[in-house]
Amino acid sequence: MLVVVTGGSGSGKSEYAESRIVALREQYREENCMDLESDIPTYYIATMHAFDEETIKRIERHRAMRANKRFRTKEQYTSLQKLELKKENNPCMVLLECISNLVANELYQADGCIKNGKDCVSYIQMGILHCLSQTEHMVIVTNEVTSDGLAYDAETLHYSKILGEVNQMLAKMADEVIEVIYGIPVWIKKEKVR
Amino acid sequence: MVFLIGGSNHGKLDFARCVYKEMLEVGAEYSICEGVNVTLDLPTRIGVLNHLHIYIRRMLEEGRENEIFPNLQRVIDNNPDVIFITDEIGYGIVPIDAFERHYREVTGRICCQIAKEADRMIRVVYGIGTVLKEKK
Repeated sequence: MLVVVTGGSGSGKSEYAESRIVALREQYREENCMDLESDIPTYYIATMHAFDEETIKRIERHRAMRANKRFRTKEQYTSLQKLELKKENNPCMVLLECISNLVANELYQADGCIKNGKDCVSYIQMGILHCLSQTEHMVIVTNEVTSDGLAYDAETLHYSKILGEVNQMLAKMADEVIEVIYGIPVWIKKEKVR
Repeated sequence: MVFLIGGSNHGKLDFARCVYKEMLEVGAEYSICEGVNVTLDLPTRIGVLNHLHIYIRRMLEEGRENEIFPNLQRVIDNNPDVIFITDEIGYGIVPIDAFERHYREVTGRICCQIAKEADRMIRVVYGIGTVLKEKK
Protein backbone atom coordinates (compact mmCIF):
# COMPACT_ATOMS: atom_id res chain seq x y z
CA MET A 1 0.00 0.00 0.00
CA LEU A 2 1.22 3.49 -0.86
CA VAL A 3 0.01 6.41 1.27
CA VAL A 4 0.85 10.01 0.37
CA VAL A 5 0.58 12.58 3.17
CA THR A 6 0.54 16.30 2.48
CA GLY A 7 -0.11 19.47 4.47
CA GLY A 8 1.10 23.01 5.11
CA SER A 9 4.06 23.88 7.31
CA GLY A 10 3.56 23.08 10.97
CA SER A 11 0.42 21.09 10.12
CA GLY A 12 1.44 17.94 11.99
CA LYS A 13 1.82 15.88 8.81
CA SER A 14 5.08 14.23 9.91
CA GLU A 15 3.64 13.07 13.20
CA TYR A 16 0.63 11.67 11.38
CA ALA A 17 2.82 9.92 8.77
CA GLU A 18 4.95 8.31 11.48
CA SER A 19 1.99 6.94 13.37
CA ARG A 20 0.46 5.73 10.09
CA ILE A 21 3.47 3.66 9.00
CA VAL A 22 3.70 2.16 12.50
CA ALA A 23 -0.01 1.28 12.33
CA LEU A 24 0.48 -0.31 8.89
CA ARG A 25 3.40 -2.31 10.27
CA GLU A 26 1.39 -3.61 13.20
CA GLN A 27 -1.55 -4.38 10.93
CA TYR A 28 0.80 -6.36 8.69
CA ARG A 29 2.17 -8.19 11.71
CA GLU A 30 -1.33 -9.17 12.77
CA GLU A 31 -2.48 -10.22 9.29
CA ASN A 32 0.54 -12.44 8.87
CA CYS A 33 0.42 -13.88 12.37
CA MET A 34 3.89 -12.64 13.23
CA ASP A 35 4.71 -12.41 16.91
CA LEU A 36 5.60 -9.12 18.58
CA GLU A 37 9.25 -10.08 18.88
CA SER A 38 9.77 -10.60 15.17
CA ASP A 39 11.54 -7.74 13.50
CA ILE A 40 9.84 -5.83 10.69
CA PRO A 41 12.41 -3.22 9.66
CA THR A 42 10.82 0.23 9.34
CA TYR A 43 13.03 2.59 7.39
CA TYR A 44 12.91 6.33 7.69
CA ILE A 45 14.34 7.77 4.50
CA ALA A 46 15.50 11.29 5.31
CA THR A 47 16.04 13.68 2.41
CA MET A 48 16.93 16.85 4.29
CA HIS A 49 20.52 18.01 4.32
CA ALA A 50 21.73 19.51 7.60
CA PHE A 51 23.51 22.62 6.37
CA ASP A 52 22.95 25.17 9.14
CA GLU A 53 21.85 25.45 12.74
CA GLU A 54 18.18 25.75 11.84
CA THR A 55 18.08 22.56 9.76
CA ILE A 56 20.08 20.72 12.44
CA LYS A 57 17.48 21.81 15.02
CA ARG A 58 14.64 20.80 12.69
CA ILE A 59 16.19 17.37 12.15
CA GLU A 60 16.73 16.99 15.90
CA ARG A 61 13.07 17.75 16.54
CA HIS A 62 12.03 15.06 14.08
CA ARG A 63 14.53 12.59 15.56
CA ALA A 64 13.11 13.14 19.04
CA MET A 65 9.59 12.61 17.68
CA ARG A 66 10.68 9.32 16.07
CA ALA A 67 12.50 7.97 19.10
CA ASN A 68 10.74 4.90 20.55
CA LYS A 69 9.05 4.15 17.25
CA ARG A 70 11.83 1.78 16.16
CA PHE A 71 12.73 3.50 12.91
CA ARG A 72 15.98 2.88 11.08
CA THR A 73 17.12 6.11 9.53
CA LYS A 74 18.73 6.16 6.10
CA GLU A 75 19.86 9.44 4.67
CA GLN A 76 19.30 9.63 0.95
CA TYR A 77 19.38 13.13 -0.50
CA THR A 78 19.12 12.12 -4.16
CA SER A 79 18.67 8.96 -6.25
CA LEU A 80 16.23 6.78 -4.32
CA GLN A 81 17.12 4.04 -6.80
CA LYS A 82 20.34 3.49 -4.84
CA LEU A 83 18.46 2.30 -1.76
CA GLU A 84 18.77 -1.36 -0.85
CA LEU A 85 16.09 -2.08 1.73
CA LYS A 86 14.95 -5.65 1.36
CA LYS A 87 16.99 -8.33 3.07
CA GLU A 88 16.41 -12.00 2.22
CA ASN A 89 12.82 -11.43 1.25
CA ASN A 90 11.85 -10.29 4.76
CA PRO A 91 9.02 -7.75 4.95
CA CYS A 92 9.85 -4.09 5.56
CA MET A 93 8.13 -0.71 5.81
CA VAL A 94 9.26 2.67 4.47
CA LEU A 95 8.52 6.23 5.48
CA LEU A 96 9.98 8.77 3.04
CA GLU A 97 10.27 12.37 4.23
CA CYS A 98 10.00 14.52 2.29
CA ILE A 99 9.36 15.05 -1.41
CA SER A 100 9.84 18.83 -1.37
CA ASN A 101 13.45 18.37 -0.21
CA LEU A 102 14.05 15.50 -2.60
CA VAL A 103 12.87 17.59 -5.55
CA ALA A 104 15.08 20.52 -4.50
CA ASN A 105 18.06 18.16 -4.14
CA GLU A 106 17.52 16.53 -7.52
CA LEU A 107 17.17 19.97 -9.12
CA TYR A 108 20.01 21.87 -7.48
CA GLN A 109 22.53 19.53 -5.89
CA ALA A 110 25.78 18.66 -7.66
CA ASP A 111 24.79 14.98 -7.80
CA GLY A 112 21.15 15.79 -8.64
CA CYS A 113 19.52 14.16 -11.64
CA ILE A 114 19.23 17.41 -13.59
CA LYS A 115 23.03 17.80 -13.65
CA ASN A 116 23.12 14.32 -15.17
CA GLY A 117 20.65 15.20 -17.87
CA LYS A 118 17.68 13.28 -16.46
CA ASP A 119 14.03 14.30 -16.33
CA CYS A 120 13.27 15.06 -12.70
CA VAL A 121 9.70 13.74 -12.52
CA SER A 122 10.35 10.39 -14.18
CA TYR A 123 13.65 9.98 -12.33
CA ILE A 124 11.90 10.40 -8.96
CA GLN A 125 9.10 8.10 -10.11
CA MET A 126 11.63 5.37 -10.91
CA GLY A 127 13.19 5.85 -7.49
CA ILE A 128 9.82 5.50 -5.77
CA LEU A 129 8.96 2.39 -7.80
CA HIS A 130 12.35 0.94 -6.85
CA CYS A 131 11.47 1.44 -3.14
CA LEU A 132 7.91 0.17 -3.57
CA SER A 133 9.13 -3.06 -5.11
CA GLN A 134 11.08 -3.78 -1.92
CA THR A 135 8.52 -2.87 0.71
CA GLU A 136 5.11 -4.03 1.90
CA HIS A 137 3.84 -0.57 2.84
CA MET A 138 5.18 2.88 2.10
CA VAL A 139 4.19 6.31 3.39
CA ILE A 140 5.49 9.39 1.59
CA VAL A 141 5.38 12.90 3.05
CA THR A 142 5.13 15.81 0.67
CA ASN A 143 4.40 19.46 1.17
CA GLU A 144 1.99 22.20 0.19
CA VAL A 145 4.20 24.93 -1.12
CA THR A 146 2.30 26.04 -4.17
CA SER A 147 -1.08 26.89 -2.77
CA ASP A 148 -0.70 30.52 -1.72
CA GLY A 149 -0.86 31.85 -5.27
CA LEU A 150 1.80 34.50 -4.69
CA ALA A 151 4.02 35.77 -7.49
CA TYR A 152 7.45 34.22 -7.08
CA ASP A 153 10.60 34.56 -9.19
CA ALA A 154 11.11 32.33 -12.23
CA GLU A 155 13.42 29.88 -10.46
CA THR A 156 10.94 29.33 -7.61
CA LEU A 157 8.07 28.96 -10.06
CA HIS A 158 10.05 26.30 -11.90
CA TYR A 159 10.60 24.43 -8.62
CA SER A 160 6.87 24.72 -7.80
CA LYS A 161 5.97 23.36 -11.22
CA ILE A 162 8.23 20.30 -10.89
CA LEU A 163 7.05 19.64 -7.32
CA GLY A 164 3.45 19.94 -8.47
CA GLU A 165 4.07 17.41 -11.24
CA VAL A 166 5.80 15.02 -8.84
CA ASN A 167 2.87 15.32 -6.42
CA GLN A 168 0.38 14.57 -9.19
CA MET A 169 2.42 11.53 -10.23
CA LEU A 170 2.48 10.30 -6.61
CA ALA A 171 -1.25 10.88 -6.14
CA LYS A 172 -1.97 8.83 -9.24
CA MET A 173 0.10 5.92 -7.92
CA ALA A 174 -1.15 6.16 -4.34
CA ASP A 175 -3.84 4.07 -2.69
CA GLU A 176 -4.53 6.92 -0.31
CA VAL A 177 -3.80 10.65 -0.37
CA ILE A 178 -4.31 12.48 2.90
CA GLU A 179 -4.09 16.16 3.72
CA VAL A 180 -3.29 16.79 7.36
CA ILE A 181 -4.88 20.02 8.52
CA TYR A 182 -3.57 21.09 11.94
CA GLY A 183 -3.31 17.47 13.01
CA ILE A 184 -6.61 16.35 11.46
CA PRO A 185 -6.38 13.89 8.56
CA VAL A 186 -8.67 14.55 5.59
CA TRP A 187 -8.80 11.93 2.84
CA ILE A 188 -8.42 13.31 -0.68
CA LYS A 189 -8.18 9.86 -2.23
CA LYS A 190 -9.15 6.52 -0.81
CA GLU A 191 -9.11 3.44 -3.01
CA LYS A 192 -11.23 0.44 -2.29
CA VAL A 193 -9.33 -2.46 -0.80
CA ARG A 194 -7.88 -4.47 -3.64
CA MET B 1 -14.61 26.68 21.04
CA VAL B 2 -15.08 26.87 17.31
CA PHE B 3 -12.02 27.05 15.07
CA LEU B 4 -12.50 28.59 11.62
CA ILE B 5 -9.67 28.30 9.14
CA GLY B 6 -9.14 29.09 5.47
CA GLY B 7 -7.23 31.21 3.00
CA SER B 8 -7.36 35.00 3.31
CA ASN B 9 -10.47 36.73 1.93
CA HIS B 10 -12.52 33.56 1.87
CA GLY B 11 -15.32 35.04 3.97
CA LYS B 12 -14.51 33.45 7.31
CA LEU B 13 -15.74 36.32 9.48
CA ASP B 14 -18.97 36.63 7.50
CA PHE B 15 -19.41 32.88 7.86
CA ALA B 16 -19.04 33.24 11.63
CA ARG B 17 -21.55 36.12 11.68
CA CYS B 18 -24.12 34.09 9.71
CA VAL B 19 -23.76 30.71 11.33
CA TYR B 20 -23.22 31.84 14.89
CA LYS B 21 -25.51 34.90 14.75
CA GLU B 22 -27.50 33.94 17.82
CA MET B 23 -24.46 33.16 19.85
CA LEU B 24 -22.87 36.49 19.03
CA GLU B 25 -26.07 38.45 19.73
CA VAL B 26 -26.72 36.79 23.06
CA GLY B 27 -23.36 37.81 24.38
CA ALA B 28 -23.78 41.52 23.82
CA GLU B 29 -20.78 42.18 25.98
CA TYR B 30 -18.83 39.71 23.93
CA SER B 31 -16.84 41.43 21.30
CA ILE B 32 -15.21 40.69 18.00
CA CYS B 33 -11.51 41.25 18.55
CA GLU B 34 -9.04 41.78 15.74
CA GLY B 35 -5.60 40.24 15.89
CA VAL B 36 -4.11 43.40 14.50
CA ASN B 37 -5.03 45.59 17.49
CA VAL B 38 -6.31 43.41 20.34
CA THR B 39 -4.39 43.88 23.56
CA LEU B 40 -1.55 41.34 23.64
CA ASP B 41 -2.66 39.99 27.02
CA LEU B 42 -6.11 39.40 25.46
CA PRO B 43 -9.34 40.64 27.13
CA THR B 44 -11.21 38.34 29.53
CA ARG B 45 -14.40 38.39 27.45
CA ILE B 46 -14.06 37.53 23.78
CA GLY B 47 -16.75 36.34 21.35
CA VAL B 48 -14.59 36.14 18.25
CA LEU B 49 -10.85 36.46 17.83
CA ASN B 50 -10.36 37.28 14.17
CA HIS B 51 -6.98 37.18 12.40
CA LEU B 52 -5.44 34.97 15.04
CA HIS B 53 -2.32 34.61 12.87
CA ILE B 54 -1.69 38.35 13.14
CA TYR B 55 -1.96 38.14 16.94
CA ILE B 56 0.60 35.30 16.88
CA ARG B 57 2.87 37.42 14.71
CA ARG B 58 2.64 40.40 17.07
CA MET B 59 3.47 38.18 20.04
CA LEU B 60 6.52 36.80 18.20
CA GLU B 61 7.65 40.33 17.34
CA GLU B 62 7.51 41.13 21.06
CA GLY B 63 9.49 38.00 21.91
CA ARG B 64 6.56 36.46 23.81
CA GLU B 65 6.29 33.14 21.97
CA ASN B 66 5.87 31.08 25.14
CA GLU B 67 2.86 33.09 26.28
CA ILE B 68 0.82 32.64 23.10
CA PHE B 69 -0.90 29.35 23.78
CA PRO B 70 -1.40 29.93 27.53
CA ASN B 71 -3.11 33.24 26.66
CA LEU B 72 -5.38 31.48 24.17
CA GLN B 73 -6.09 28.69 26.62
CA ARG B 74 -7.22 31.28 29.19
CA VAL B 75 -9.58 32.77 26.60
CA ILE B 76 -11.04 29.31 25.95
CA ASP B 77 -11.46 28.67 29.68
CA ASN B 78 -13.24 31.99 30.19
CA ASN B 79 -15.28 31.78 26.97
CA PRO B 80 -16.16 28.18 26.11
CA ASP B 81 -18.09 29.35 23.02
CA VAL B 82 -15.33 31.56 21.64
CA ILE B 83 -14.66 31.48 17.90
CA PHE B 84 -11.04 31.62 16.73
CA ILE B 85 -10.44 32.56 13.11
CA THR B 86 -7.12 32.21 11.31
CA ASP B 87 -5.72 32.37 7.81
CA GLU B 88 -3.93 29.22 6.73
CA ILE B 89 -0.53 30.74 6.12
CA GLY B 90 1.54 27.57 5.75
CA TYR B 91 0.71 26.81 2.13
CA GLY B 92 3.39 28.68 0.22
CA ILE B 93 7.09 28.44 -0.57
CA VAL B 94 9.16 28.37 2.63
CA PRO B 95 10.27 31.99 3.11
CA ILE B 96 13.96 32.94 2.90
CA ASP B 97 13.63 35.32 5.85
CA ALA B 98 14.24 33.52 9.17
CA PHE B 99 11.52 35.38 11.10
CA GLU B 100 8.91 34.72 8.39
CA ARG B 101 9.85 31.06 8.41
CA HIS B 102 9.59 30.85 12.17
CA TYR B 103 6.26 32.71 12.15
CA ARG B 104 4.74 30.19 9.73
CA GLU B 105 6.02 27.24 11.70
CA VAL B 106 4.83 28.55 15.09
CA THR B 107 1.42 29.50 13.69
CA GLY B 108 1.04 25.93 12.40
CA ARG B 109 2.00 24.40 15.76
CA ILE B 110 -0.33 26.69 17.72
CA CYS B 111 -3.14 25.86 15.31
CA CYS B 112 -2.51 22.13 15.88
CA GLN B 113 -3.00 22.72 19.61
CA ILE B 114 -6.16 24.74 19.03
CA ALA B 115 -7.50 22.04 16.67
CA LYS B 116 -7.00 19.48 19.40
CA GLU B 117 -9.05 21.57 21.85
CA ALA B 118 -11.74 22.65 19.41
CA ASP B 119 -15.31 21.41 19.76
CA ARG B 120 -15.79 22.13 16.09
CA MET B 121 -13.35 22.97 13.33
CA ILE B 122 -14.47 24.31 9.96
CA ARG B 123 -12.52 25.21 6.84
CA VAL B 124 -14.13 28.00 4.86
CA VAL B 125 -13.52 28.14 1.11
CA TYR B 126 -15.24 30.96 -0.81
CA GLY B 127 -17.71 31.36 2.00
CA ILE B 128 -18.63 27.65 2.10
CA GLY B 129 -17.78 25.74 5.24
CA THR B 130 -16.57 22.14 5.45
CA VAL B 131 -16.61 20.61 8.91
CA LEU B 132 -13.27 18.92 9.64
CA LYS B 133 -13.93 18.07 13.26
CA GLU B 134 -16.98 17.81 15.45
CA LYS B 135 -16.76 16.78 19.08
CA LYS B 136 -19.52 14.39 19.94
